[in-house]
Amino acid sequence: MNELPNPIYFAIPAFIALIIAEMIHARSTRRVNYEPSDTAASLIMGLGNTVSGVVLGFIAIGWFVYIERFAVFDIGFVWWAFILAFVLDDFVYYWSHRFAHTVRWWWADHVVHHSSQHYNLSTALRQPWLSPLTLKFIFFGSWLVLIGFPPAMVAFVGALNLVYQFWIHTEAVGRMPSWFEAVMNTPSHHRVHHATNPRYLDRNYAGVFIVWDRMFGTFEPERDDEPCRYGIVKNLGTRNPLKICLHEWLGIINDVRNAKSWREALGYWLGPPGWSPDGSRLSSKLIKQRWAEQQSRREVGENPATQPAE
Amino acid sequence: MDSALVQILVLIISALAIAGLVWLNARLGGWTPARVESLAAARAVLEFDVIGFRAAQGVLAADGRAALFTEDGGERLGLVTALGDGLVSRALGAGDVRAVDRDGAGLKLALNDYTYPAVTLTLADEDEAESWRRAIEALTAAGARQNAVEASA
Repeated sequence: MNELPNPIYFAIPAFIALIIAEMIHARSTRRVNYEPSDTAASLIMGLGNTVSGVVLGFIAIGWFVYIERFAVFDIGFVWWAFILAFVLDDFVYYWSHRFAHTVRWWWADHVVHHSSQHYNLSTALRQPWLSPLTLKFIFFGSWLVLIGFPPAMVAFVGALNLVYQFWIHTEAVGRMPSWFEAVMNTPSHHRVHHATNPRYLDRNYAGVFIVWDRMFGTFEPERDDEPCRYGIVKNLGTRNPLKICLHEWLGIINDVRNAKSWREALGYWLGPPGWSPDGSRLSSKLIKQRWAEQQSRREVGENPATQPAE
Repeated sequence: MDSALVQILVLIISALAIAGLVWLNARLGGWTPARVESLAAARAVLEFDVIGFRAAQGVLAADGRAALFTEDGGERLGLVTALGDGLVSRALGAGDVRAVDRDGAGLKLALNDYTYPAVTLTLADEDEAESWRRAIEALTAAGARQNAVEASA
């Protein structure tokens, strides 16, 4: 396989410098929150992710090398192919990310990234350790290789995508110019994605271009009257990296083991996060539904004139 | 340079950078260890986190590290605890509490939740602690009954 540099390695010094700058900004303005135990957990998760990439990366690499022979075209390393691959990879990222939020098997991996109640640049590095084992790369990583983009190019543009996403994990930047907010993923859009406010749940899946969310109906703008509350629906009471890494996997194992039928087991494994056969737990969809009901009750309570006549 | 060597170097530098950043974060300060300031603040967190949960009667631990609530119109209990500079909450239903122990005015709760460490609340007096212990015990008993029914089904 043709070798291309890993942009993430080159970006690490910039990541560190920007985190230091944001910490100083946090201290002087109080607009951003950093807390050492949370920062340590996020950064250790990031380091573990790098280690797992080295240790388990061969699984994905082996797969891409294998399927390369079935590619429809032989695109090669031409300049325009990098641009096209970058855009297509971001499109695939949108769907991969959307499924990571709606299929528990993949959520068990991705939940790690959302598990901090803080939202700062260190949160960007809070990444899972077991991603290759979820086999998500087979479902979402294969397309570009099968079209004919070289696997090294696909890996390269995928890494560029992740480098772009680093800077949007901040509260230090308010809103970018409107033309930029319209096309690109920005700190404002991504704050919404990390928020647990029911209005914001499961929105703004974009990596680089927010246009995918606008196209597929998952876009939600950040509102000044509704500050983001970060984390997950059931926030973790621990900063232990191992527990952060494994908690949802253990939850799946536990639920599947106690399932009363194959259908239930399948639901716990591949259903949306929070799914339960009797609806006693809350998926994002149910939370949004209950919140909407609550809101309409509140509106009726505030304005009895809108109550329907019986 | 050999790519394995580069990777090892990156890992070592990253580990050092992490230690440095956490140290800097601790030195710079700027955060306040969380406290459950009031029952109203705890109620607001709980009702935001657990959609549909309406807190009724509540009690605040003397050290401000936790609060417990009964549910208005429901059988669950609400728990709010301090972690770092934030608060974490849970609605506790049947089967969610593994054990509850009282020692004088102190109440220790262990949950069936891998990510939630045991919580100790020091309440105003023994009577108050005992009444909450009974409420929690009733919840665990309901959980045990539910498990027994499911096992026999």
